[in-house]
Amino acid sequence: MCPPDRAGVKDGVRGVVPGATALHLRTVSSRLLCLGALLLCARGSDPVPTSFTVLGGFEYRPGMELPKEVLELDGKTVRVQGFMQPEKEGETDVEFFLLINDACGCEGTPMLNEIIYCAMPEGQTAKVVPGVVKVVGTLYVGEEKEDGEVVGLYYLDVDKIE
Amino acid sequence: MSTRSSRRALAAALLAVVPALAVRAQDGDAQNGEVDWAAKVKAAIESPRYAIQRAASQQIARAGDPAVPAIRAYVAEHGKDRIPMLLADALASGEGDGEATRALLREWADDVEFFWRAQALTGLARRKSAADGERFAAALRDPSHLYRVAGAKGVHALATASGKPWDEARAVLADPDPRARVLFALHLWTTAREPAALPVLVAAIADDRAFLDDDWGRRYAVQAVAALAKVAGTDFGYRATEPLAANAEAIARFAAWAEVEVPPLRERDAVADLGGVEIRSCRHGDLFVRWTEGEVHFGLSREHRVTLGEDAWARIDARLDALGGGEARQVLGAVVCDFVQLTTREPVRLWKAAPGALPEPVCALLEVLAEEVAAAGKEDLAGALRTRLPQFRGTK
Repeated sequence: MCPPDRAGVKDGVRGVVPGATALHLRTVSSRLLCLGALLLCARGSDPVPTSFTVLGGFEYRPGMELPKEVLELDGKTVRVQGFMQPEKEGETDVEFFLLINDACGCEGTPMLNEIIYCAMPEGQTAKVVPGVVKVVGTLYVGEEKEDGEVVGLYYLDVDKIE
Repeated sequence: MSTRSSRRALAAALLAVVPALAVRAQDGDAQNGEVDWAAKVKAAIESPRYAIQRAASQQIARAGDPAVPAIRAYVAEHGKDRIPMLLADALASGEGDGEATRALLREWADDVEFFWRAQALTGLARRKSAADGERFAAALRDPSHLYRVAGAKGVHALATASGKPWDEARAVLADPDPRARVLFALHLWTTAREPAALPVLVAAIADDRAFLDDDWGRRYAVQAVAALAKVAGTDFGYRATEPLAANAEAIARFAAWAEVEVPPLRERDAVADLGGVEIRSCRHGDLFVRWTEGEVHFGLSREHRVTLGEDAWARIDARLDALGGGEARQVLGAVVCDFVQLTTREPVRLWKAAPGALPEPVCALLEVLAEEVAAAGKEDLAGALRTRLPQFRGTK
């Protein structure tokens, strides 16, 4: 099992955004085994089905307390359905992608609670495909900031894309 | 705050040790406190990380006028097509304002080739300048549903600001495109609690229709429920994960609360679609076409149905057969805004193509489809299909 200070990881990294330092890199390296074990643990359980109806079903304001049903998903292995969107237009094989709740992504910028930042397993890429996909992985919930701006609420370590 | 994951950590670390990969939004903050807007604009457009694009876009939007020269300079060097929706939308909906910001939004809104002209017009609607009155009124007749909605928002904003009726925009509440109806109703309700929005929103809750695999009806239903429940203080037991029939009581209670007629339940179509194509076009508006056994249906909610004879289907089937194999699901070209998406059931295909990237066999299929629809006496529908094809024609 992982040591109880897994929460300390949050002090060492800054999410998918490039805010990490060399210290962060060391922090990450020292915790890879722990996190690998976590992934194995997570894979051992049935994914909790969730959806953008739950994740995006409230009016988000920066700093607010997130709904209980959303917070309960933090750290859980979930299965969620949505549309893949690359971080940069035109990317096709990606390590990271956004899962959104809009087929064409053209009605406007998704709300923060309508975006899941997805990260593929290390060394793997995903092909960006059209249409609905179901993504299974470990969901992390909480505000993430970049340059003082809240830029994300949901992050998912992908186990598989169905 | 939650714990954080290994993959995100690794991403952060990699980007930190390879700074050339990342265009940092923070780089825009110069030592003397002056903001380097050129760097912010570059971050908003070129960063490989969505989070940085988003943060930089928000900062630009909050500033407004001071950042506009940097946007213009970027466009002059790289072209308008490089502006992402994130930046256009942020500038349109941000706090930043002033003549420079409005002038830029007007240029974007008036450019029929600009991908995000509807977002720009929405930004002008938010700013409620009487100078844009004619622009908003003209937008009500635009082929793009998003542009019509933006125009309606502007007409409503200007009228209510001066205590006048907004009759001109009411037509959008009865727009042939259900997306336009719901989007405008959502705007009217969330910004002004306009009672005229209520019948449309309650009807949206009762609409479970889909286009092929896209459950657009349920998606708008969820938004309508959220908007109404916020005022009603209850969702009346509506459950988005349940079938429509299971929500009938909740829909009736929403209708009673809103004092509107209980709408008919619009179930997901029982029709077995064999395939279809959706063409998203900022300039020409979107077109939805699908085919069933013997018929071609046009429109998101099958507004027009064309029956074709056996000979026609033989020609269409020959083109379908000529599509060949290839991957079941693929994106062709770099999709920014406009795209064509072809779906077939047997074999299963979901091909999405950007302008200039539609394979010739797909173009040939759609041309034959248009020819047969025209031969069946529906030249207007055939023309709608033909008009949208040229920009997508691409590879052999």
